[in-house]
Amino acid sequence: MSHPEPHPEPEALAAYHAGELTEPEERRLQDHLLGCPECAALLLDLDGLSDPGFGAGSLAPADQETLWRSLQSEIRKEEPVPAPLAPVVPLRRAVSPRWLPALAAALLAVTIGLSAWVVSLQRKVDVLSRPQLATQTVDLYSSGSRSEGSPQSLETFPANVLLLTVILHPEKPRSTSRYRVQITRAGGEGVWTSEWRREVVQPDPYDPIPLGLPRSRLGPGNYRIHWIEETGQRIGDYELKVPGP
Amino acid sequence: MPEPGEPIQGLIEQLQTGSSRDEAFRRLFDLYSPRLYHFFIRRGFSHQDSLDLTQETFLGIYRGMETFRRDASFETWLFKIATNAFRKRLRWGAAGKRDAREVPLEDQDAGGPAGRVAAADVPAPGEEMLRKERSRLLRQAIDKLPEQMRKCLVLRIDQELRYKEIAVLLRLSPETVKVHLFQARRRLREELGPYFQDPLTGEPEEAVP
Repeated sequence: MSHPEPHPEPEALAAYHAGELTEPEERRLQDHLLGCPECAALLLDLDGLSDPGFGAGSLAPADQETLWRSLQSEIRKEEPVPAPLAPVVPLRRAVSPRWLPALAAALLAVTIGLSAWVVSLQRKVDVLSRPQLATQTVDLYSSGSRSEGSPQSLETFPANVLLLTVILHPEKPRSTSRYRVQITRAGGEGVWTSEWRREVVQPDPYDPIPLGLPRSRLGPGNYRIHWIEETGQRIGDYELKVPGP
Repeated sequence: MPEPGEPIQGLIEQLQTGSSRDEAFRRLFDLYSPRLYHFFIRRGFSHQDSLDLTQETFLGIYRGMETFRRDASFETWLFKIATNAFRKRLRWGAAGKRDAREVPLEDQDAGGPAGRVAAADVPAPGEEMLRKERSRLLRQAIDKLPEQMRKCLVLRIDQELRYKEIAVLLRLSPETVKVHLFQARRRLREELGPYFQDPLTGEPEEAVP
């Protein structure tokens, strides 16, 4: 018969039989017994084990004898076999050679040197493992479309950045695909002029353009960037402040 | 051979102290191996499996003898080791080795003896309905009985146990069980009246005044 609850452990059945359970535990176990003939029979047999008549004659004497011999054999297998005595070796006086301290000192020095070398190697590996920032990107919006009057500023411009990519967002829609970008430092000094043609089937008139500027041309200072169409129409004027490294 | 009623504690003491250890273990084996073997046979194990489990249990006793408390019940300890041993074997899938008679399904389907008997026993539709209704009313009435009385009656009806067995299971005296069953019958007769069918005999009680 199947029973939805798990069967109680034999310890619980034995405790119940001995009257060692609390009242709620006892009631729960009794409820289990009502629906579980298997556990009920088990408990009755626990009672039966104390009865010398329980199972009397069920085991033939020949089987009982065979079982005893088999049990003895299993027990002998488990008993520890005494270990044979080890031959006695006469103790010899240990003699330490004179060069032993020198060898120990040399080994110690080599060990210390190797440890220092390993530490320095680890530091080097740590430095080389750090990500190398080689480029930096900044979005620029035309001075006419920004409410703030001051130029857009790079927060940092680390020394290891080799290329600054500026993304120019147009203030006015573009009508052609030929452009020119002029970059001047504050005071009118020309820094960079670039012309290029962008071949697209249906150009988006508000599509921004990326512009890569080498670090060697961008010292700290304020810059003005002009994006001009081939017709001469200005698409956007930008201001950028580049901090020192 | 061991004497009936030989004190177990003396044997345990000999086993634990090491004086005539082998002899004491042999006497313990002679006393309990038939009971253990019977215990496993009653769980449905085959002859060979029951012998194996008896040996396993005695090995457990031998190994754990040092830890056994002399004031505890030896039979309870034996029961725990034996129950754990057979449950472990069942978990290992040795249940397939248990003695169980297999009946081919086609015998029942193709009008074999079982099928013919079943056909002859089929009650008339009205009879079946009445039986079910009686059974439902009886269960309802049983559920209303006081707890111990109800438990005695359920074990008597469902598991067909004797007074003494019910007494062991519910930790009552056999006399108390008898009284509970007598009173349960009387209450059911009062409750069910003309519908009463004695749950202990299965006979209808219409003739009872």
